[in-house]
Amino acid sequence: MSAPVLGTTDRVVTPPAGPAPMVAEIAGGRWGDLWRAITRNRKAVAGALLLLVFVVLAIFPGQIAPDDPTAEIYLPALGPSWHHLLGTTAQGQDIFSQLVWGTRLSLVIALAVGALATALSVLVGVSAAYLGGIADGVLSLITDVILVLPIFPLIIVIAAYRRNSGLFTLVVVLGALGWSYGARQLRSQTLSLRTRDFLEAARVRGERKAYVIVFEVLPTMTSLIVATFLGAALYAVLTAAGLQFIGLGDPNSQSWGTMLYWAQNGEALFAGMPLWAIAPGVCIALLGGAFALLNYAFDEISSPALRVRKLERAHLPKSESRPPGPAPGTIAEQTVLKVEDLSVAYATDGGPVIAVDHVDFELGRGEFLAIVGESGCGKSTLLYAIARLLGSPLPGEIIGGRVLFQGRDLVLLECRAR
Amino acid sequence: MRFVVRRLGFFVVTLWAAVTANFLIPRLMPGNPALAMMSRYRGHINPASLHAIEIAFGVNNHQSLLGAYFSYLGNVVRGRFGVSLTFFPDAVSRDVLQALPWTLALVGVTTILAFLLGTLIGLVAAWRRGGILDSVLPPIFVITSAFPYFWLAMLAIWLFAIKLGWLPQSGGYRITDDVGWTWAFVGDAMRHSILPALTILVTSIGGWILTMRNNTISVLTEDYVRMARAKGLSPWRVMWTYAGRNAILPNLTGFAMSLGFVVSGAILVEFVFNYPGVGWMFLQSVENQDYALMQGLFLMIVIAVLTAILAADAATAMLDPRTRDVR
Amino acid sequence: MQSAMNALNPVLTVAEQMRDACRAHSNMSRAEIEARSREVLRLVSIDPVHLHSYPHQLSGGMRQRAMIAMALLFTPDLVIMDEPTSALDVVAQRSLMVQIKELQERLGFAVIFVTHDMSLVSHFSDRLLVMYAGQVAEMSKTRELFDRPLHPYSHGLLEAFPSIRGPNARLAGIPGSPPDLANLPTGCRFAPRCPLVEPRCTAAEVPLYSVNGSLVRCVLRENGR
Ligand code: SF4
Repeated sequence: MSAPVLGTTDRVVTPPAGPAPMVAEIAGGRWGDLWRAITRNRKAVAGALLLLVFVVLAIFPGQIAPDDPTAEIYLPALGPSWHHLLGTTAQGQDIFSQLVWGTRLSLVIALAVGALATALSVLVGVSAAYLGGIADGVLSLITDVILVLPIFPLIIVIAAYRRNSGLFTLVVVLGALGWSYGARQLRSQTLSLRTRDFLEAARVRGERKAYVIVFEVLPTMTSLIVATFLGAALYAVLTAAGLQFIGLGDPNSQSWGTMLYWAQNGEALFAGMPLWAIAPGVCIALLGGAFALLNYAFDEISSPALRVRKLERAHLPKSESRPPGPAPGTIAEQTVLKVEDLSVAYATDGGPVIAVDHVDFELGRGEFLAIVGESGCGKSTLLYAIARLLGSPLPGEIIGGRVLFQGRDLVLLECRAR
Repeated sequence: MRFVVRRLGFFVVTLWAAVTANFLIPRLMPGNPALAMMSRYRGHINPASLHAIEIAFGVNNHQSLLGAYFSYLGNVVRGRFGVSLTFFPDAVSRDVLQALPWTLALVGVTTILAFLLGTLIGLVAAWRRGGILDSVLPPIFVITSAFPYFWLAMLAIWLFAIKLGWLPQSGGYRITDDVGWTWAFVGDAMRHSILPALTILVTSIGGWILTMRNNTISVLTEDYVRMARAKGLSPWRVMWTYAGRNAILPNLTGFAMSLGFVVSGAILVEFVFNYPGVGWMFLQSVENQDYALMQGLFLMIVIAVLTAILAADAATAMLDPRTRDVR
Repeated sequence: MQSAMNALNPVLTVAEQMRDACRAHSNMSRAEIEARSREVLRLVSIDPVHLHSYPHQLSGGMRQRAMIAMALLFTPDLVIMDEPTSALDVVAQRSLMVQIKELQERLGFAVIFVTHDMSLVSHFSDRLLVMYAGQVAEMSKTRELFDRPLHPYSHGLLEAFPSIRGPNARLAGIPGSPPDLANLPTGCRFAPRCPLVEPRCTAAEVPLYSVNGSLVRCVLRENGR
């Protein structure tokens, strides 16, 4: 009788992750690019999956949750078990079922507020930038005032006068106060677009302003608008949960914030029902986290500098070994600088890219050498390599060859002989 | 100079907007809660407190809306917010001033600490691109920035106060203490503030780290940073005066803008911990329908936030010569 | 020395940045640094009163010259410039070039000057190094390259600016755009845009051929002509 060998039965063999197939390379155009950028970004994928799970929970709560969330049919304060995955509340309700049913309201608030706030941001931000003059001044001032007013206390004040107001009021108030940050960003983005050629062209063609805004300006700002939406949704999730938690939502509605309100009232932490208080918070954090991750990923996608890229040397094409030149480090008397077989690579999303490829030259004393070429031909990279300005925290790395400098190292070469 | 004047003007405008909102909200609500409240209280409480509510709302049957608005403005300017019902017969202004030091000590110190620490960590993370700090921290803090403050506060209480019993679970000091500047009291107050402070620190620091990191990364591509390295300056000097000092400027603006968010979180943290500061008192007043106190506290919060923003502006002006002389 | 307008730290005065540089390389006293800073500013004909100005208080041309002054703090053997004139107007470009050349002759340093505009350096540089897609395409004496460009790309670059003799000549330029470095064509990297492309161009990597002391990466010059 041999003991069972642990861990051999359910091992999954994952194929090595190769480059994703490049379908729709051309046909996809901008949307295709965006899609590929998203699927390649791990944070974006994690955020999207989380969001998907919550959407499913919100649409099919009845199929997933075993019980009616409001039914007080069990013994109170049960611990977690097979019947009650997360135990029961002090009122004898099933916590897991409450969580599942609570998803819907939390998600609806997030999406509705996100949409409303984004619409307002676009409206105010784009028209401020586009109208200019006094209109811009007034709209920007309003934006700034709302931006710095502490929104949450203001909402509490409003809610205090209108207790237990419905979902609609909540969404309107949150949306009406949550657009300023996005508006500010959209305004500056529009301003920078305004003078671009294609808009000038549209203006010369005599298109109406509204047409230009809707068909020429907005499509170029897709990623910023999406980011605005995600930010507003995150804000809505947290603010709504906070309001419900202090009892300013509708205490009879099913949401995570309300669960926390009852948990706090029922002294869940002291009475040995920590899961009652912990679980809804985890859900809020996860839903908020989904929006935050997506938002952050979008930031990275729209400004590539933020992504960390490591130079994968293994992927570099093998440089053919060259016959050794003159003895290393020799440099003629009248030569100031000698660049030998220099190669520089940058890391990019698609793997390393060689920006300077086996460049050789010498520079005599007092000589004036001009390096010419179109932008992107590697001329600046070559300079940086000579001046030793590559390497962390700056991008780029010398992968072959060397730079010899002779003479007093004055301003440019920091580590050579003085 | 013009920069400072412009920011001061903005300060006044925003404050005015807050006061006006305070005045208008109870009137614009369907059913006019202000008047409803008045008629509900009439005859139930003594004339003095009725008058207090009148002041708080600017409700006066003999005045037009505009007239009421101006007398309300006048009262606010003179610091007359009426009388608190919760702490009757205290004047609202007195209660507010009582709660203020607690909040300043807790929220003020923690926020500044979080900002400084976060900025520092963000700078270093960006400086060492791809290092441990840079690859581990961002995803973590993206998630923590989505944590509800109050929930983290509850968790902290559960873990450190109930399970481990290391720290007190609520309040600002032991009830048996004599309030005063004695060592015993200050020490006790400190002990009580550890958990709420940690909660605020953990949730707010992430935002600073992320924005500072991203700012630094974009500043690092600027020519003057390359130039500074080319000049052969020590990496330390380049990081601070060239990269750091330029990257912190947008972060200061960000500080001003996300302050409202931090304050909202702090209100809930005070609430969960029963910490006797402005936020806790604010929610108490909401619960007790003590509108005079609520409005006074709301204005207090606005003023605090605006003052912090002015401070951030002053720092910007100090660090950035371009704001000093607009030619 | 770096490109355009932004090589000066906007939050420090010119004097502070010069002091930084001096501190990093020598142990001059404060007064010495100040004196030297004034001297180099005068070298590039900036009035030393601007020493304590912030970069945003200077004009574009002045900022460029201040940068050059900074490079001259230590009488260097080599000055490296990356598109130093790209943000200036034509007149300012010219006068800056003349000034660089003068300083070079006076102080005897070598210059590496990066630009995308060949016409700018035609009268100033001794040699030209033409780069394409990370490689050296051609390296020749400036005069020779202008008279007889060996590489079709150099030829295209020359036609991309209106020559002084024929101001009405069309801007021929070069159709197409540089290749994606991550996705290089086989053989000659210029082949997709080259007007003289031949089948053998794309067969294998093209080595550098030596032609009368010039270097060129083009199969047409295989025989050294
Ligand atoms: S090798 Fe061929 S394709 Fe390349 S430049 Fe010369 S002629 Fe043109």
